[in-house]
Amino acid sequence: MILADQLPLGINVGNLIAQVVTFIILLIVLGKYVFPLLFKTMDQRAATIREGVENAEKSRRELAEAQQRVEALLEQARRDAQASIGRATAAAEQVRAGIERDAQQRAQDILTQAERRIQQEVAQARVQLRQEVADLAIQAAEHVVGKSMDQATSRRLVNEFVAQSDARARDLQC
Amino acid sequence: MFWNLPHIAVPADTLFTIGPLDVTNTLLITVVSALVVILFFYIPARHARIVPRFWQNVAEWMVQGLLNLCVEVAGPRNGRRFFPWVATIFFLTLVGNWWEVVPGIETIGGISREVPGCENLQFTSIFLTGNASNCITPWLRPPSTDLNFTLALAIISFIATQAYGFKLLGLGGQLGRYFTFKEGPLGLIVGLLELVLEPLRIISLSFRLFGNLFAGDVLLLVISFLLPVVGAIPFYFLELFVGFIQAFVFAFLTLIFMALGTTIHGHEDAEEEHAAELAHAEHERAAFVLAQKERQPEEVSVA
Repeated sequence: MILADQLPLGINVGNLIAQVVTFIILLIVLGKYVFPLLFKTMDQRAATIREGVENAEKSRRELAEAQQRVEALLEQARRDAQASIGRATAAAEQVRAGIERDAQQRAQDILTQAERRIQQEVAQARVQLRQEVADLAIQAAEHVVGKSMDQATSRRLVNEFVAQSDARARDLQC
Repeated sequence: MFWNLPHIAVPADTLFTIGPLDVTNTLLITVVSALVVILFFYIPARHARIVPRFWQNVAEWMVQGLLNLCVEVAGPRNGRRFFPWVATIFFLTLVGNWWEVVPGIETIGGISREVPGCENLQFTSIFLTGNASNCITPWLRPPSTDLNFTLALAIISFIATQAYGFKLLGLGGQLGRYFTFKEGPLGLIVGLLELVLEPLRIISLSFRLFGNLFAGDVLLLVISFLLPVVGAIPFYFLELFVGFIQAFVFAFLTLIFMALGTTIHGHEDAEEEHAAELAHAEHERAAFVLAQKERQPEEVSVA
């Protein structure tokens, strides 16, 4: 029988066919049932990894955009705060100037009043001094003359003398 | 003598017969090897996870590496088409070759009285020593040391190559590879030479694998005879390497023959076709990603 015949180098047709059949069965099992399972898993993994990478990329982009937005908002807030500070500073400056102006005005008023009062008191003291000088002068004149002068005449003379003295003193000051 | 040089014979030993079929020790181990390959890949594939464990990782690494090789050599579409053939040849041959270094292979078996000198010996122990040490028919022997196995693989490789040639190029295209008149008499001669050489690939493929593995097997037996236990240890590593290389060479040559066999002789647009295939594959990948995206609900973007 040809299947059982032994050819040179141990070649046996039956055995050869059996080897071929074994190989074909293995090929079918691996090619139809085993490798597709592995490929399916590997493709799923590749898709998952790819998706993960894309999501990470998307998240990275969104994070960058969010950071840009945050930066813009911070910049805007900084500008607004700066403007508010400027306005507040200007207002404070105005208030300060107003207060200073009022204070100066008030001080000026007080000064004016004080000067006026001083002038009044000076004038008053001058009148009083003039009277006292006149009295002293009359008393001195009475001692000198030895007789009394009537009061009205004496006072008139002294006052005229004092007035002339004042006028002379003013002329000298001028 | 404590032991004899093991009986070396090219034909495989018949263990039993099923009808007209002689079941040899190499046929038996081919079946065992096929089962090992199936189990090695089926178990991790059946319980595959997105985050692979060790075994699945190894299986995927091997499959992915081989697939990448096929795609690089034959293009994306043909690479996937040829992959099962190349992978089956590679893994079956690899496992078959590595049986050579497994203890018990070729040393456990039945008593053979056909070996010269063993006809009238009395066997008193299950351990064969002295003159009886080579009176053994091993139950298992590496398949690549049997020409039936390597020849079967080479014939399958040849037939698959031709079948893909007819399928992908058509009758005219495939015959045109051998009978080409466009390139003048020289082209015709080259084509005819290719026609003659085509079946000779069966011989080169089968005898290369058989020769390397049979020689390695004999080497291990002789070294083990000369310097038992320790003498063969370095050669085990050598045989592991040779077994891998020969399996790879067989599978890779099959892939090359298939890739060449599906390319028209003197085809100038081959690169363009390859580029078109790559573009097509990229397009399919993009469509797949798009489909995946559409399946998912829109994510709320960060305000």
